[in-house]
Parts: sequence; C-alpha cells; structure tokens
Amino acid sequence: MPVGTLFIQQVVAGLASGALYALLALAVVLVFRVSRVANFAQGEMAMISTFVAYLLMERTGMPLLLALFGDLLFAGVLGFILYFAIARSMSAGDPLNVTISTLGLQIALNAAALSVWGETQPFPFPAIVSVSPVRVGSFLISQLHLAIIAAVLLAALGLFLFFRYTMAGLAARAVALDRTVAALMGIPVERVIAQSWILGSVLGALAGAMFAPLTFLSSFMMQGFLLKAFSVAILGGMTSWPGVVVGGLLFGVVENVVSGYVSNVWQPAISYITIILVLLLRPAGLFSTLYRGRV
Amino acid sequence: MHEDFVGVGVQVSARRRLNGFRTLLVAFAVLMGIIPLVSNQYVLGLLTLFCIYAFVAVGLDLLVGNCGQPSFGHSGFFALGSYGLAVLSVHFGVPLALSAVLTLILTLLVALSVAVPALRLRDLSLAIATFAFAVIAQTAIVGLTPLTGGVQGMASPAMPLVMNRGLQAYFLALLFLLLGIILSRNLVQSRTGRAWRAVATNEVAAISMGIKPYSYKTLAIVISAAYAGIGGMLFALESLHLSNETFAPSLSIAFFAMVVVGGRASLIGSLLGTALYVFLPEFLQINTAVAPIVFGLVILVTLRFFPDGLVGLSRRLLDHAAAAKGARA
Repeated sequence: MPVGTLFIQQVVAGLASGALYALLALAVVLVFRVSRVANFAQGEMAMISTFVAYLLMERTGMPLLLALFGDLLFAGVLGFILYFAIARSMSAGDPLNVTISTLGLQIALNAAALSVWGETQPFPFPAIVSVSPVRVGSFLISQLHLAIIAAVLLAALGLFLFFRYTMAGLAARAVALDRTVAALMGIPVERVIAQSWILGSVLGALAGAMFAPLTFLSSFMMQGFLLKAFSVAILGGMTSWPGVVVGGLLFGVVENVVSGYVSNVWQPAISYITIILVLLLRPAGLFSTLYRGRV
Repeated sequence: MHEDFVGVGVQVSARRRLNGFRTLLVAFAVLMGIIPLVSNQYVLGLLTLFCIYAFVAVGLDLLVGNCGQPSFGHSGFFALGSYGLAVLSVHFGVPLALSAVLTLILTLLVALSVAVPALRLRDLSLAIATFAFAVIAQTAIVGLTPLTGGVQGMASPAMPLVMNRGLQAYFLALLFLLLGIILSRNLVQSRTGRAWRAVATNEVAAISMGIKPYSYKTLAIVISAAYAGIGGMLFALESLHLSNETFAPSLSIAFFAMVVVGGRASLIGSLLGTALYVFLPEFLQINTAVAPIVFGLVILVTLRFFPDGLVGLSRRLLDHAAAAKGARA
C-alpha cells in the first residue's frame, strides 16, 4: 500500500478520534462554564450510559438506534441525579471540593463498572454504519470514521446554533457569565445549571456510543479519553466552541500520526508535551482572549 | 499567638499548642515504634506503606494545602524516586547511598524544569498540566524498558540489612516520616509558610506585600517533589519488585485525595487522609476490587459534609466540646 494512502488513513482516523475528544470536551466545557465544576467523572458517566445501551441490546434485543435512544435518556437522568447529588448540594462551598468530589465519583464509578462487568470484557459494540471502507478518490477510508467526524461536526454546529439563537442558550450563557445578575434578570439559575449537566451527560454518552465500536466497550475505555478531552477543552480555552473542535481534531491527528510514524510507546508523552507547549504559547487556549479575574 | 487566615479554601490557625505538638509527636513515634513488635508481616507491610504515603502526603500538603496549587503529578516524582534508585543501584552498580543522593538531585532538577512551564498556568490548566506530567512519567517508564523493565518490571534495589528486611524498611520509612513531619512543621510556621498561605489566599495582595508568588510556588513544588521522590525511594526499598502499573496517574489522584480529604494545610489532616486510604479497605474487610468504590464514595461524602476535611470535622467536634464545657462552667 503506497505511503500516501496510509498517511491519509492515519489522518482520517486521527480526525475521527479527535472529533470524539472534541465532543467529550464540549460536554466538559459546557458543564464547567455554566456550573463552574470541572467534572472529572464525565468519562465514566458516558461509559456507564454506553453500557446501558449494550444491556438494552443484549437483554431485550432492541435494535441499535432504539437502544441508543434509551442510552441518551438514561444519560440525561444520570446527569440530573449527579447534578442534584453533587453540584447543587455543594454549590455553596469551595469549588475545589466539588472537583475533587467528581474525582471520587470517577474512582467509584470506574470500580463499580469493573466489578459488575469486569470478568468478560471487552465487549464488541455495533456501529451505526458499516465498518467497511469506502472509496474516496484513490484512497480507502473507513465509513465509520467519516460518520463520526460528520456526526460530531453536526453536534458542534447544533450546539453553536442552540447557544446563539435560542432563549435557553441565551440563559445558559448568562448564567455562565454572571450568576447573580442572571438571577436578578429572572433566569432560573438552578434549572439552567441542571440543564447543563443533563446536556453534558447526553453529549458524553453520545461520544461514548461512537467510541465503543472503535475500541470495544469496557470499563476502562474512557480513562485516557477523559484526560485528553480535558486537555482539548483547555486548548479551546474553556470558552470558545470552535477552539475546542479545532483543538480536538488537531490533537487527534497529531496523536495518530505520531503513533504511526514516530513511536507507539512514546506517543502519550509526545501528545501531552505538545499540549503543554501549546498552553505555554497561548495560555488562554487556541482562540480565546485572556480574561483577567477580579482581585 | 493566634493567626487565622480565612481565604480561598485555606484556613490555618497556628495553634498555641507548641508543646502539644512535641508531646503528640513523641507519643506518635513511640506508638509507631512499638506496633511492629505485635504485628505480623502483612500488617507491617501496610504500616510501612502508610508511613511512605503519609510522608508523600505531608510534602504534597505544603504545595496543595498551604500554597493552594493543585497537583496531580506527584506520582511522577514518586516513580522517579523509585526507578532512579533502582536503575542506578541495580543496573549501574552505584552504591545505594550515592544512588539515593543522585536520585534526589535528579528529582529536584526535574521538579524545577516542570515548575518553570507549569507555573505559567493556573487552576484547572495547571491541574491538567501536572496530570500530563504524571502520564508522561508513566509513559517514560514503559518507553525506557531496557532500563526499567517496562511492563515486566524490575527487581528492587537491595539494602544492607541489620535486621529483618520488612522491619528495616518500616523503621526507615517511619524515621523519614518523623523527620518529614518536623521539617514540614518548621516550614509551615516560618516566613516561607506564611508567604505560601498569603499566595494561596490572594496572589495580588501577596505581591503588594512584597512576596514573589512565582518563587514561593516553585519552592513549594520542588520541596513537595523532594518528599515524593524520597517516598519513591523508600517504596522501592520496601517492595520486592517494581512495575509500571503501580505508578499510574491514579496514584497522583490518591495522594491529592489523601491531602484534601484529610484536611488541607494540616499535618494531622495528611496523616488522617493517608490512614483512611491505606486502612479503610482493611477495616471494612473488602477486597481490592471494591475498595476504590468505597474510597471514591468516602471522598464524596466527606467533602459534602465536611468541607474542611476530616481535620475540620474533628476541630468542629472539639469546638462543640469546648463550648459545652464552657456553658457548664
């Protein structure tokens, strides 16, 4: 196979995984900006939701699309429960405590999933489109990768439109900007925050459902994923959607190309060093302006 | 003398009980000195682990509790200590004491080079950057497989023995823990400690008082890294075998949790947090698969109801007791 084709395939695969990092990063950024909580459990929440889809298909023989619908529904409920249990009850205290609580939650969820499903994983997870490659120009590219990229771009576009042009989106932006003033303007702040957790959880579950066919479903499929999503979120400066999407795609491509052409073993180190370098050059992220805090 | 700083997540009161500290420390030392004589091999191993982790936590508290900077990267320094000592003494035949000194110097250098870029970031970005360092460290262990044995692992360095190996490892760890506690206490109550807490409370105000945040943060990182590195060396001496799985970033999270759940900017807090992590699974008689679930839930519950950590809880109980006593008098 000519070198060019392999390279293109690596790039496309990188774009696909990068798109998924971006999707999870969007969820993280959403929750972070609206509720000011860095939710380290986002990955495990997505993993459990995806397991729910798997169970629905296994136990009841549901078709994939229906199971996915149930999965997203579950994710929404899970997001709300966690909002209630963590963000709402601890909102008065130190934000660092809430962040560490999400770490605790991540540890607990991961171990719980491991103990329930640990013996027989990983499980194969079906994809919406077939995995057979399709011909684009003179290259063979996996349909699944293309579908993932398209889906994430659509989701990102949808989010952008939602936040720009709907009242609910406007309310969310207001709460993210200044909670007190938003409340004074009559915005139901707690409801908006709950919505952000629900939507964040659903986005995460979507990312999980698209990730599972690529790497097989297992209780540790999200572990590295979340850190990368956070890094991508920070690359996007935690404030700009395009930054997150571009950052994610870039990161995915760099990761895959390095893995393929430089070294598979050292790849994580190289990826993270790249992130740190980017952060040093542009501490506010790729596209954002630096916001100074009040003293 | 009663200083109270109320600030962003930092509450420290320099207690009047200076004499109390010495008494407590001696009592602790004696207790820990006697326990191994009535313990079996397994419990001794746990106690040694407790001393090592507590040592690291005490150091980390200087950075996280006093100086208010997050760090999820200390498993990297821990790994550096372990593998540095092991590789130098096992592969290159360097005498153990010299290996230890060289490894410590290496750890300090790495800490400095991590601090320079990392401190240009703040809050969440800093946390992610430190997490990235932990990942890089674990990747390096596998990447340098010819030296480190990678996934298979390598044998730990041997130390000259004057007593039973397990006992010696324990007493060595205990010695360093006690020294570490004394050093930490001195630092916290010195000008450096006050500068750290000033930086944690409000950096701009600290600058206007003539404190350079960058220097003090760097100092905190380097000192806590030294603690972690030495802890790693003690760990290498205690274990029979080193492998890369032990040094995962999740260990960093565990250290961080030990400090915060126990109580930030508090020596007793670090000890309590470590004790929780090491002994709770044993007390509850749960197996290793379920242990993290419990630990995670404990973190959640503790921080929900006791935002100041376990130490905050005990302080509150003591205050209640004192108030009740006062009311009765």
